[in-house]
Amino acid sequence: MPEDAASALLAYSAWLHAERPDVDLVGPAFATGTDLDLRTRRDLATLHRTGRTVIETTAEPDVVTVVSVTAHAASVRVVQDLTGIVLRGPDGRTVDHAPASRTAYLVLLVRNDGEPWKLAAIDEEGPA
Amino acid sequence: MMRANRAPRSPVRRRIGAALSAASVAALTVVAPAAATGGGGHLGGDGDLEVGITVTTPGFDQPVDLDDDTRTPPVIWTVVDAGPARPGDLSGLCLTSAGGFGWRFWLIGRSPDGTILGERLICRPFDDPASPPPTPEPPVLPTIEEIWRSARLPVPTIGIDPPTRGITGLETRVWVRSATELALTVALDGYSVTARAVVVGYTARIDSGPVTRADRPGGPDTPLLRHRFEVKGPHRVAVGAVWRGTATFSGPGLLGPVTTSIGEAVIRVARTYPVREVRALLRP
Repeated sequence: MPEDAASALLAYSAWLHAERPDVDLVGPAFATGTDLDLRTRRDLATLHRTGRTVIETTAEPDVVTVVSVTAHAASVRVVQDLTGIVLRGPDGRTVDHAPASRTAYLVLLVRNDGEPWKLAAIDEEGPA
Repeated sequence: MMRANRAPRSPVRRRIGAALSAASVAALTVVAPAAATGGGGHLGGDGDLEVGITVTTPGFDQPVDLDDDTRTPPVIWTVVDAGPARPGDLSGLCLTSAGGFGWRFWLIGRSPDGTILGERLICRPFDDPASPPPTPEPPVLPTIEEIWRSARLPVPTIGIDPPTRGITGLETRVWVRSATELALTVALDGYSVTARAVVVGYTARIDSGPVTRADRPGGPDTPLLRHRFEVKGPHRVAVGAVWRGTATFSGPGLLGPVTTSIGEAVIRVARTYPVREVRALLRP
């Protein structure tokens, strides 16, 4: 189910940013060569180099609905009840934080024949 | 959500009133005669008209007015490198039309509201087995704004009663007259575009009051908006037609025709409506 895959992949992405900013762990979840893949690798490399992590806090679980599915692609809408984004330093202390609000995203998943879904694009639609 | 783009499509709502063609403005005096009809009349034609178009892109909940140079692509492309994961890996290879090995890419097109319009496998030849060939460039289609401009939306006519001026305390009725369908086929930026649009709503507004919207244009006996002016003097009366359209693109880089929504375009016309005060004189 694309919505289950999207939830799992987004949770994995959040975990990478919050716990293990390691570019070697990007491959299983992000479609190679996409802008999302390249920017995620760049961000994780920066976090790893500086010893920082990014944590998003939410008030409710994400709401994921399927917009469109084809053989190799799926588009889902994700409404995330964001409450804040926290940047933590190597010692675990908060370096910076920003308030956030309920936001809707369009997420594109892709897969090759017989392979699992991967994240290909995350586009912010705006406040939900 | 980490690493979200701020929508690659450009949002949402933008005014392109300045882009309204001279031909359409010239047509105002034709489609908006000042002559009264039946119980009411239709305003227009003396140079006091304002016409504007607002385009709403599908997929956006938060309207934003944009600068005129912003463009909204009708299709959002994503290119995925589906080639070999490691040098020497055979998975991810394909056969090119010339018979050699190629590197696989997926090209996926989505409409701004997320609907997947098509996926296409691209097999690109490559020389260096250790590195992928350059990523294919997705097609650059005409923008949503270009299509709406080409459509030259007909300007609606303001129906109003009393037709020439209002009276304080007396009910004024406002309705809309507009064409309801249009279709066009144009060549834009090397693509053939067939667009269809229908009117899905009508709007009316007095001065800076609330916008009344309905799915019927109204008429003298069933107006879209009823209003009693309390203050004499010049007032603004505006009506609009809400068009919703789709466009089908054919041309280079597309495997076949691609059909997508081009959202809504609201074309409004506004003009001054004089309101007078009538006082009764008591004579002994």
